Amino acid sequence: MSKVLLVEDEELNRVLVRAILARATDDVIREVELVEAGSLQRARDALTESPVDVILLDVNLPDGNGLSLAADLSTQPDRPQVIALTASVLPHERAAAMSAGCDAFLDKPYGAQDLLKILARHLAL
Amino acid sequence: MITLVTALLVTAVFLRALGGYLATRDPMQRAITLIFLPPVAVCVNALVRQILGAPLPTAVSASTTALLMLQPYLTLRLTARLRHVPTWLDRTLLISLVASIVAVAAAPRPLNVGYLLLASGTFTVTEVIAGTYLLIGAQRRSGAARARLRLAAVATYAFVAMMLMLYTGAALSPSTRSWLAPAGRVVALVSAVGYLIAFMPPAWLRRVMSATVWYEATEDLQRLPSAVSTAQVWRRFVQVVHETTGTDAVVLVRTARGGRLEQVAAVCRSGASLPHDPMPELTDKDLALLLAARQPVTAGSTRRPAPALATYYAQATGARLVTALELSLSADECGAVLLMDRYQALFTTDDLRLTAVLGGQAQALAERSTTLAEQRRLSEQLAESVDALTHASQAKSDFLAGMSHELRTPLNAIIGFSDLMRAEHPDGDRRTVPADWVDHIHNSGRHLLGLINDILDLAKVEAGRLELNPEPLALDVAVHEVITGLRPLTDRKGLEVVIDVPQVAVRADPLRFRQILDNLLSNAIKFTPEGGRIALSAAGEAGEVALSVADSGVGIAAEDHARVFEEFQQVGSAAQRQAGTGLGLALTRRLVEAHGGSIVLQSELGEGSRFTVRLPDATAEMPAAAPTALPVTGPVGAARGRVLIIDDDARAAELLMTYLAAAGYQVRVAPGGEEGLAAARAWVPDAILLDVVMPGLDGWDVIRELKHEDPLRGIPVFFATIIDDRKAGMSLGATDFFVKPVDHDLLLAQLARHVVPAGNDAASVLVVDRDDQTRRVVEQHLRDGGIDVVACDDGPEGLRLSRDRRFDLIICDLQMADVDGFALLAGLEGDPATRGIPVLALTEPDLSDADRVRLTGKVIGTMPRSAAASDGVREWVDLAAVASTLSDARGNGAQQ
Repeated sequence: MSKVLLVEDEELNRVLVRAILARATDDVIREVELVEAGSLQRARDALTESPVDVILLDVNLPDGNGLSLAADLSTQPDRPQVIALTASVLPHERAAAMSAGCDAFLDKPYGAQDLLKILARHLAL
Repeated sequence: MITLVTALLVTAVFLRALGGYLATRDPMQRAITLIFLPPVAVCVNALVRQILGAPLPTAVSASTTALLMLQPYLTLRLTARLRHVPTWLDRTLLISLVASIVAVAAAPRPLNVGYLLLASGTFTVTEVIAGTYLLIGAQRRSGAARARLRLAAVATYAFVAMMLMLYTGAALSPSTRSWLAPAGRVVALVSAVGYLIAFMPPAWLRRVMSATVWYEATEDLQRLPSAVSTAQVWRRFVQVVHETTGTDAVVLVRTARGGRLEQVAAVCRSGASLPHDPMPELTDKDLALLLAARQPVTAGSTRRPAPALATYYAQATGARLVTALELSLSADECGAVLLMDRYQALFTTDDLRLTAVLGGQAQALAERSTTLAEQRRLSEQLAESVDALTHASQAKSDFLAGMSHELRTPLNAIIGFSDLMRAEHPDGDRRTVPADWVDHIHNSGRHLLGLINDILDLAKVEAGRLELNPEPLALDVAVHEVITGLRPLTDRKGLEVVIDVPQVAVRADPLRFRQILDNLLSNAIKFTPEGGRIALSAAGEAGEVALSVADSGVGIAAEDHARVFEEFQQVGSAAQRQAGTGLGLALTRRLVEAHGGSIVLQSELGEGSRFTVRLPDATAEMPAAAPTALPVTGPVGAARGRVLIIDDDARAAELLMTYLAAAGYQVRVAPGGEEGLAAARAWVPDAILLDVVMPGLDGWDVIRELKHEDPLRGIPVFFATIIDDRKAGMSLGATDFFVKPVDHDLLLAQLARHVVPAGNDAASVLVVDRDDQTRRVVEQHLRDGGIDVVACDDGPEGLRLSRDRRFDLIICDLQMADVDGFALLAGLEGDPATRGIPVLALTEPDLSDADRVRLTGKVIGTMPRSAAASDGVREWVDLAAVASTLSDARGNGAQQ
C-alpha cells in the first residue's frame, strides 16, 4: 500500500483530491493511504512520523513556500517523489519550482484524470 | 668713480619713485619717495663736491646732513601707514631726532665724539624701530609680500649701517674716512636698491613674484573636491584671498534680483564677525558707486565721504579702508569682492591683480560645480524615473501573477468537481452526483465572480472609466442596509455589532458606497474572532463625513499599514491570513479616492483595527423632509400582501425579506426556480420577486411558466437580479425590473402600487386644495392609480373630514383663502384623532426659506403644485400607505 501526503491549505482543494482518489478505478490508487496537511509545518511533522511515497505539494502555503520543503527533501537519499500542485504558472515561478527539485508539476486547475495519471506514474517510480 | 656711479644710481631710484608717485598720487608712493630723498641729497652733495673739488657752502652741507638725519623718521612714517605706531613713540623719536640735529648743527667743528654718538644714537634707534615694525609686518604676510617686507627691513638696517660708517669715518682719521665714505655710499646704494625692489620692483621681477603667489593661491583654490557647491567655491575663494593678501576681511557680494545686494561669502580676521547680509537698503547702485572710486576708500573721512556700502562694511569689520574689485560670478551674475583693512595694504595693486585672477579661477570652478550639480540632478532624476518604471512594471507583473493565482484557485474546485461529476454513473441523460460537489462548484463560481468583478472594477478605476453618479446618501440608512445583508455572517460568529451613526449624509454613488461599506464590514467580520465586536460610527467634520469601522480583531502591524491597501497583499502572519481575494481593500481605497475622499487605517497588532473613510458631507443637500427610512425590523406577517421571493442567493433573499417584512408584507423564500414555481402554485402570492441566475430553472424559465398558467398569470412579477436586461424581462411580462443591489424604497413603492391584497382597502387620501382645477386633476390621477380619494376645497372642511375618517395621507395646498395650510397643519396636530396623519404639502415654487423651516417636521414632504398630478404623488401615497399599515400593525401588536 502506498502513502501519499497532500500538502494543501485550501480545504476545498483537499476535499477535491480526496474525492478524486475515492472515485479512482485504478487498484494502485485505490489502495493509497492519503495523509493531509494544511500547512508546511504539519507536512514536516507528518514526514517525520512516517515516510511517504509521493507528496502532492501546494506552493503557496500560509506559513511559507512549499518549494522549501521540496528543496530540503532533494538532498535526502530515498526521498519521496514531489509533485507540485500550483496555481502559479508564470515562467519564473515554474523555473523556481524546477530548481527546487520537484519531480513533476500539475497546474491548477486540474481535472480528475490529470491528477490520477500523474499520481499513478509517480507511484510506480 | 664710485661716488659718481652711486650718485647716479641713487638718483635713478629716487626719480623712479617720484615718477610712480606722480602717476598714482598714492600717499603710500609719496612716503616711499620721501625715504629716498635723503640718500639722493647725500650722494648728489658728494658728487658736486667731487666735481667742484671744493667743499660746498656750509648751509647746503648742513641741510643735507639734517635731511639725512631725518630719514629714519620718514621710514617710521611709511611704517605707520602699514600698521599702528603709537603716537607717543612717533613724537618722542621725532623730538629726539630734531633735538640731536639742532645740537649737532650748533656744536663747534670738528664734532667731538659725544655729538657724533648723540646723532648716530637717535638715528640708529629710530631706524631700527622702523625696520623692526616692517619685520613684524612681514610676519603677517606670506609669500612674496613677506619677502618684500623683509627686504625693506633689511634695506632699513643697511641704511643704519651706512650711517654708522659715516659717523665712524667722521670720528676716525681722514685716511680711514677716505675709503669708509665711498663704502658707506655703496651700502646706501644697496639699501636704496633694496627699497626699490621691495616697494617698486621692476615689471619683470613683479611678474616673477606674482607668478609664484598666483600659482600657490590657485593651487590652494583648486584643492577643492570636485563635488562642491558654488557657495563652497566662493567661500574658498574669499578664504584664499584673505590668506594671500593678509587683508583684515574679505566679502563677496553679488547683485540679486531687484538690484538688491546679496553676500555670497565672507571671511574676516578671527575674533571679528560679519553680518550675514548687506543692509537691505543697499543696492547695486551703491556697489557701482564704490567700484567707481577705483582705489581704496577711507571710511569715516570727513573730507571725502565714502560710499554707503564702504561705510557699512567698514563699520561691520572695524576697518578703515575698503577696496572694491568688480568680479563676475558667472556669465550673467555681477558682483564684487571687497577687501577691508584697518591699515593700508602695502601692495594694493598686486593684491588686486591677484584677486582678479583668483576671481576668474573661482568663477570657472563655480561654473563647473553648477554644471556638475545639474548633471548630478539630471542623473538622479533619471535614476528615479527608471526606478519608478521598474517598480511599476514589477507591480504589474506581480499583479498579473497574483491574479492568475487567485483565479485558478476557485477554478480548480469548479473544474475538479465538475470533472468528477462527469465520471459519475449515468442514469439515462442524468447523473446522480453528491450534493456537496454542486455546492462546492457553486460557491467557487461565486467566489470567482467576486474576483472578476473586483478586477474589472479595479481596471475601471485604473483607466479612469469608473462611472460615478454621486448623490446625497443618508448614512444611517445605507449602514443599516449593508449590516442587514451581512447579518448571517455576524450571527454565525456571534459578533456584537454596535452602530452609532447620526443622521448625516454623504455625497456618493449609492452602488459604490454600499460596495465600500460592504468591503470594510466583510473585512471586519473576517478578522474578528468569534464573540468579538464591530463598531460603526460616523461624525461630520469640516465638510466631510468620517465613517469608522472598528473591530476587536487581530489588528495590523504598523509596518503593514500601507500594504493592506495594495492589490493581493494579505498581511500578518500566516495563521492570521484569511481567505479572500486580496483585492477588497485595494478596490475600496480606489473607490473612496474616486469619490474625492480618503481612507486611513489605525491599528496595532492585537488591538483591533479601525478603518476611517472620509467622504464629502451632503447633509445640507438632503431634502428637508424626505420620507425617513422605514425601520428595518418590524412585525412580520402583517396583511399588506403576500410576496414570494425566488432567489438561490440566500443572503440576497434574506435582505429582501427583511425589508418586505418590515414594510408589512408576508414573505416566503424559494431557493430555486422549481421550488419557486411549486410555492407559487401552492401559495398564490400577491407578488413575486424573481432572480434570473439560478441553478436548474432560471428566472426566464420561471416567468414563462408563470405567465402560461392560471391563476398565476395575474401575479405581478418583479425581477431582482444582477443581470441588467430589463428589455428581456419586460417582454416576458414582468411588471418591473430591478438590478441588484435593489433600491429598496423604489421596490416598496412599486409593490405598494401593484399589490392589492385581497380583503384590504385601497389607500385613502384626502386632497385639500382651493384651486378647482388642480384638485380635480390630482383627484383623477390618484383614482386612476386605484386610490380612494376624498377632496375638499377649504381648511375647516378638511379638518372635519379628517376627524371622521382615518386617511393614509392628506395632500394639502399651503395657500388657502380662509385657513392657510399652516393653520390646517396646526389643527391636525392639535387633535389626537388626526395627529400623526402624514401630510404632503403642495407648494408654490417661490416657497420662502422661513416657510420651509416652519414645515420641517410637520409634513412628510413637499411637492410643487405644478407636479401634483405626477407619478411622484402616487409614490408618496404608496409610502404613506405602507407607513400607515405598519403603524396599524404595531398598534394591533400592542393591544394583543
